[in-house]
Amino acid sequence: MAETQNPIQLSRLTKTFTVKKPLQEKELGLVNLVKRTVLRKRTKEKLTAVNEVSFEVEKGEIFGLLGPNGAGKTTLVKTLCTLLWPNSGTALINGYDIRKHPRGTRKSLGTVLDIHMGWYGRLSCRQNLLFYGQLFGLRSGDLNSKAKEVMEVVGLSEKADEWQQKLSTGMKRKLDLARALLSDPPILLLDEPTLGLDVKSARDFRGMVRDRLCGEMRKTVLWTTHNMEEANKICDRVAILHKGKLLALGKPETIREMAKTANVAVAEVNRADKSVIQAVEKTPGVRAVSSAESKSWPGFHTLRIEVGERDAVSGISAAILSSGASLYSLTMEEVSLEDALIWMTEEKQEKKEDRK
Amino acid sequence: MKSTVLPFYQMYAFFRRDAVNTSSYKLNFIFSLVGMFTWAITMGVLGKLTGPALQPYITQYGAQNAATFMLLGMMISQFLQVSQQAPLWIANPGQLERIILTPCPIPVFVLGTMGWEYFWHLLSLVIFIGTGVFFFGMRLVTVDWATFAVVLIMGILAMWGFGIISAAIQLVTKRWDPLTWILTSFSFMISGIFYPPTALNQVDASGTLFSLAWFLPQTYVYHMVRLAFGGSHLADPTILTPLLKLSCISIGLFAVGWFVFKLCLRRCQLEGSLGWV
Repeated sequence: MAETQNPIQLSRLTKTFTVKKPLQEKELGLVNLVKRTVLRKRTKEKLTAVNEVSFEVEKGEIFGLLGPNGAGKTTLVKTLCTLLWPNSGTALINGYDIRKHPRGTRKSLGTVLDIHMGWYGRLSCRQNLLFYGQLFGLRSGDLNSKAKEVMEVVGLSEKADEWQQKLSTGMKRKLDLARALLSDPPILLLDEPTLGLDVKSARDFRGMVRDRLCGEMRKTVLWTTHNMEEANKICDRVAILHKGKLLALGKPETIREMAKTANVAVAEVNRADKSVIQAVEKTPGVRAVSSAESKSWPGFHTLRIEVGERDAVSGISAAILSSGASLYSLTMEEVSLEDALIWMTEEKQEKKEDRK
Repeated sequence: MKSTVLPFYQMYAFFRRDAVNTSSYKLNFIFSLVGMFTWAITMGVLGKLTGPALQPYITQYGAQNAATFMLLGMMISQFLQVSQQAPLWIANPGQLERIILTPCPIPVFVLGTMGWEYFWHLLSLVIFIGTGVFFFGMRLVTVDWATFAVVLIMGILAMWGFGIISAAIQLVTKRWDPLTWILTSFSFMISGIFYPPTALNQVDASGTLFSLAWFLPQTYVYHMVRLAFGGSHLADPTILTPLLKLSCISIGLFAVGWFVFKLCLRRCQLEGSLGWV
């Protein structure tokens, strides 16, 4: 691979499935099965799971692929690791075309898929890793040290001689990652890697990927998740997929900014009567004010104040205090990545309905 | 690692994995060995009991007795069955997906997965032959081992063909395919495990079953293995002609099987059903 080339490059990659339409209640049963077979009644339709997706991932970057269930994240990962055959478009993994050089592609990849597949429950963690190491052609001397090293990296050294089936879900996930690291690939495809992990294990796992794998070892990571908080914490850049289409691409803060429809200041006050609201409404830059019972401060009130510019906040605090109310907190409401995803996917839906 | 050595190294990895896995079930491992011996004794006794009735049909196989006939039938049928069934394990979705992600080629995966089973059945072969020699008068001095080995290999190749076709069907349908079941049951009836196909004429005077039997590769294998145990050589016309026929069937089945498997694998990769169960 040329030094300047990005490790992952997708250009208009498309994957379409032919799926059977679910049968109606009246179509069930043996007689209907015979009818369908005899009449050769087609009950199939096309589903585009990945629709002309293009993006590039830079070396050492953690790239998040976000989207709701059924967005096409796993299909995209499975296509990139050659488990699925794309219908059109190209993808280069470490310089290898996934269609023309599937072997080179696989050699460049370490994958953690969404289920713990291909493990042998009555083999220890070490024996399982040695098996996969041999399939990758690691020599016996290197193999032992490599297995030891990856178990150390993922924090499984203490469980090395334990049967795989005795491991907890979190440990099994770590073993998945250890296997992905065994051949020292430059690129890691991690599909929902923290699924089923408790809060601490998930945090440790993210820390390990961020600090050890990307920081020290300079691996490139494609991380799929529907956990927006996680993506916000770990990803350098994210792409939002919805029904196979790429809706947005950029840094998490850029994506959040895209979803921002207005600047909203939130004030926690001890009273929200007419005089307080009028005082705030008269403040320059304020567009609208609404009040509600405070959820975090029992007995207090929350004012949601829509402003044109963030600078208006200093005037708001002065207006509240001058109206005789006590101000306990005043913050600008941040749009979360989750809000951005919901906003983008719903907006897309609305546009579609408008066209109809 | 050199590319010429790598496939063998990978096959060894599969063998080692299966050996460790099997030996972890210690009690099962021991009882399986005892079970093989009991099965061999049963076949020997059955041969002795049916000996008088079988004798007229087995004179063509030389000086071997009916117990040996029965033991050889069961021993070889086990070998052929494992050859037919072993490729089905590769259709295991979790395993196949995971292996595809490694640089291990599919043929190496297929052979590697079968390695341990063959080792296990070689043990069974030794137990069957040992039981025959020590308890039922099996004679090894007359055996032409080269013929025996060649016939067995060709038989295994033919059964791989069937097995790979079955695995391909299973990849697409996600269910145990009927081909294996039909072939196994039909083979038990007509291909000569317990009695030679000529004996079928007693129940079917038209000779249809007898003719059908020679469409199955198993029939050729049982027939020629018994001839080899009676002392026939590869150059004997009694061996050479059926061996040529078996070779054609084996190569044809294997080639068709591999083609169908690749086709089904690609279909699964296209429709995304590789990981489905």
